[in-house]
Amino acid sequence: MADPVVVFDNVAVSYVRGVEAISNVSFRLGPREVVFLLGPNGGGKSTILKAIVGLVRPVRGVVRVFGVDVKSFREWWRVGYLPQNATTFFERMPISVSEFLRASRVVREGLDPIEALQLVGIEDPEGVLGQRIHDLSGGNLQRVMLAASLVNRPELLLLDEPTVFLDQNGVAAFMQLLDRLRTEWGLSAIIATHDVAALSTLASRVICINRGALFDGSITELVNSEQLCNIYGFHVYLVKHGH
Amino acid sequence: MQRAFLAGLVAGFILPFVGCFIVPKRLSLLGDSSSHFVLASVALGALFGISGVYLAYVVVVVGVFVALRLVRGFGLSGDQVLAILLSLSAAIAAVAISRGARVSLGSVLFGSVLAVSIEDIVAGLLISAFALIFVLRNFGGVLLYAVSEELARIRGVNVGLYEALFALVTGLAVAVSVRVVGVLLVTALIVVPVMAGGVLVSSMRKAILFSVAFGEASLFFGLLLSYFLDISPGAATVFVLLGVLAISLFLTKLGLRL
Repeated sequence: MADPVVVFDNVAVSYVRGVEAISNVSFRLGPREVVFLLGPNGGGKSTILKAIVGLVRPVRGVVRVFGVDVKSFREWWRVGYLPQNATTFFERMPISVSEFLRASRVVREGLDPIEALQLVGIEDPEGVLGQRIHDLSGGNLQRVMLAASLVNRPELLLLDEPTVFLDQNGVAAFMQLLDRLRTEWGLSAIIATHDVAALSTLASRVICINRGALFDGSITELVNSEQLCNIYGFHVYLVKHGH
Repeated sequence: MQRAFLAGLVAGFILPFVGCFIVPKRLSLLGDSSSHFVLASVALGALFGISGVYLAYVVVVVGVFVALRLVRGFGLSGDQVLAILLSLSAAIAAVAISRGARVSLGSVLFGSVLAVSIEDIVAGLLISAFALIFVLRNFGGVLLYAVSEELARIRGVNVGLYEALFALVTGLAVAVSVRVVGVLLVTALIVVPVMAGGVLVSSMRKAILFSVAFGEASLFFGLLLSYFLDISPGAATVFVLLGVLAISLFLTKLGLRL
């Protein structure tokens, strides 16, 4: 079996002494695997992603990225990360799309800004390149943030609520892109969301989080279990479309 | 007068230049807080009979570094931390003055370009050169550091080192510039040219260019105004800066974006 890309081994993270944001969470992410983290606000989805990129330190347990303890991991260009609310970073800042994408690219083999914008489906990439990021529409801003997380051709992609600001077509295109990159780049991804509708057949695996891992399995198993009801307080049914 | 223009040239460059990174980090009052450290240093220096100027260099750098650490390490907002440090330095200055420290408050508060020494100008030039070269060589990292320390860290930027250099350059720039424009007007030169430049342009490179140009032009015309109208150079500079800001905001309202 191939080495896991991410290993979470009995991890607990605490922001306030005595209160754990996540407790005893364990899972592994394999190569080319796409996992959706599903759960309510404050359930610990963002904390898991932050622990993987070393922005928060576990009080217990170990996080490994590409086989290395995250505390000593240095090859960050192999990881693409889209934080939650990243669009608010640019308020009052005169930063162009071009400047931001060039600053995010740290490896020579990375995508050039036009390539990155085309990849995420931006129409008129040349025109967008010179624009101030804060002037972009919500959808384009989110696409630019996604482009920045892909600009180094990462092997692991971590996305926190990537479908906010995207309409249904945008979400579908995003899912297709992930599927393509999984095949072409060998990309693995962890996507934190509470957009249950965004989960598609691409979600080979779903982990439900509400401070601890409540469920780890396929989406069909999840919908047939009581866990979604336990998390959200209402029943969720899988509707299969004919197209 | 030549020395005054040279000192103005240095302050007109370095303050808006560091302001381009201070303002986006929501630390606009950093100039105000750190210039109050200069006041406290000068007062303490006078009380203990040591050079307040050199003490100011050290105290301001340490003060800015502590402010940044408090914001990052304790989750406090920038304005809360800066208000605390501003009060602390004002209190220290008040104690020193009440204990008999003799401070020329007028020149500390409003600046005195004619009192600027060649050493101050050389120090300002060295800091400016260092800051410019560092930003040119590490533009991407500096940009990400200004946008978000989270994003910077996961792009491999050494956030701790950038924070220390940011404190060093900002602190020294403020300490040098206080001699030219005074404690009360340092903030104007850090914030107003950056606002005037920032609203007009669509990229950080242009924002830096415009902010520095506005800073230099305002100081130049401010010094001329002060000479001909016999008013404080700092005050004259602020009037020019506010005029530039008003024109920039008006042009932005007309839809101009460069």
